[in-house]
Amino acid sequence: MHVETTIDLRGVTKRFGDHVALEHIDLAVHPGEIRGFLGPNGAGKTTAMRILVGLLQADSGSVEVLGGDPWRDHRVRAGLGFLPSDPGLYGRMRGAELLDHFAALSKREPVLRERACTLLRMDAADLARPVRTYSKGMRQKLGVLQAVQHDPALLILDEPGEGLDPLVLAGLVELLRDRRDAGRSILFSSHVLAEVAALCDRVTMIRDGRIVGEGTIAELSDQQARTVILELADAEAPLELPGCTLVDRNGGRVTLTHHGEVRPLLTALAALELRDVRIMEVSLDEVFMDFYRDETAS
Amino acid sequence: MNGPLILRLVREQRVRLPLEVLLIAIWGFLLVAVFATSEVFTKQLEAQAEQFGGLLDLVGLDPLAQWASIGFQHPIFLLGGGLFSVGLGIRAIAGELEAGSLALALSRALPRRTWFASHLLVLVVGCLVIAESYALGCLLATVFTSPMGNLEIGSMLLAGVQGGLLLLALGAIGFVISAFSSERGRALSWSVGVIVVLYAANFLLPLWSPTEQVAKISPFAWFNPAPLLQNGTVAWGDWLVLALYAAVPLSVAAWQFARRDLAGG
Repeated sequence: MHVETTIDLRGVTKRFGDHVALEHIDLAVHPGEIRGFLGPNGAGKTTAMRILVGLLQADSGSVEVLGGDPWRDHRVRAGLGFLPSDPGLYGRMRGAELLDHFAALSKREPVLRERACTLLRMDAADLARPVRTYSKGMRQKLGVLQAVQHDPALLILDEPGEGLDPLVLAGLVELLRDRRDAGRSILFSSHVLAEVAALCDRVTMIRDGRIVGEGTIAELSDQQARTVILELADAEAPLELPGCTLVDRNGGRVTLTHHGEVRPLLTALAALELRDVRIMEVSLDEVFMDFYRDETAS
Repeated sequence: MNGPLILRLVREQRVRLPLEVLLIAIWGFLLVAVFATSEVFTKQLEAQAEQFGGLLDLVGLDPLAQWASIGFQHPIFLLGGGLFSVGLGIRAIAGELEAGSLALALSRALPRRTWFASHLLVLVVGCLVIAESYALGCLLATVFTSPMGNLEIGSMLLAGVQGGLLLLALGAIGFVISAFSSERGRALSWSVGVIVVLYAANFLLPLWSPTEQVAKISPFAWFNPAPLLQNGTVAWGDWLVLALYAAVPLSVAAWQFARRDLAGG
């Protein structure tokens, strides 16, 4: 089945009593895309993900996943792989039994298990042990495996990197890139922004149940203020730079914030007599913090 | 129904259920063995036999049958069976939701009604096996200890089915509370509370004439296998009420489970 969008949420609202968990959310994810889903705790990421896998019903708006509604049509969910933030794994089962069980429930062959096990450094001896003896990291790896093993068209992963050591994390990144290259879609949330920056094609930011930003990391960075520090040769020289707002001036040392395109700024700077110039690049952390700091930042 | 799911549920019960079955069977065996070997009972029976002659059998007052029916209603039987049935009902929804495993299963192409029906099948079979284990324990004891009196195999097995129906009704209470809850502990507390109140109501309310009829709100009021064991009388009305006691909460649970948000876990 070919679909234009693997996830298509339009105007989705979800309330729990008086609390509005999601308010008019729009989200579209396409085949072959890795989408980062970022937001502080309680922002609505988990609620949105649970709506996408049919565990919650949206109060209003339309939910389309792999061409169908996951709440009404369970067959749609055959193409999903889901890792919740705290996956409940049956402790008495052995790792391999648990994977077999979930593969059987999915009614799909675990065609990717071997490859995923290799990348996540999970060997046969690990899988032969009861799950209750696993460490947090091992449980997380098993959680990822159960989501990925049947090669779903859409992977929804809630903080998949949590508890994983850097080597396994690198394997996870490779596995997800692999899946993207195979045309699968991935929506994942994470608080490890370096992981998001390394992996995501696009990022969607959510706060208080609303989407507050969406785009590539470069696009989101462009929306944020850069800090520009200049050392002017002439301390009294007048200064007017495109997109800049003066923050502080102490003789020849000037601190500015800059919004928007960087090229006009560089052209203007080239015309000045400068002793030094520093333009602070906006990191994803700063983008994230800026989006969440207050309403006006968004 | 879903094969892998039923297989997992059975495997989960592979230690607990046989243990409960064994304990209940031992309970049935001991009850009849005590009856057979106790001098008190023997002397009482001999005195009654002298006094009433063959009348005891004629009016259906076989003391062994009465004794065996008490075992069916005894808290040991109810506790043993209830542990399984209520436990399964609570774990099926609230327990798995709280543990986070329900989210993993139902994010797959597994309809909720299939999840529910698979649990229901295991519940029904388990309740029957536990209740019949009591009947078999009693019957085995009659072979080995030769008590005075008579226990009909067919009646005992039929009483076992009725006992299973009672356990199913208790499990249904667990199921319906579980379907409205997201925490196993809370669902368990409520279920145990409701069942204890219904059990107490069956004994306490008839003691005061204005509340005598109210006692019939309790499913325990509709489970009395004595007439069946004594003279083979099947009280189909009681069976029907017990069946409704199981069917109504289970239907409500299925309806609620199908429409509820699964936000926990």
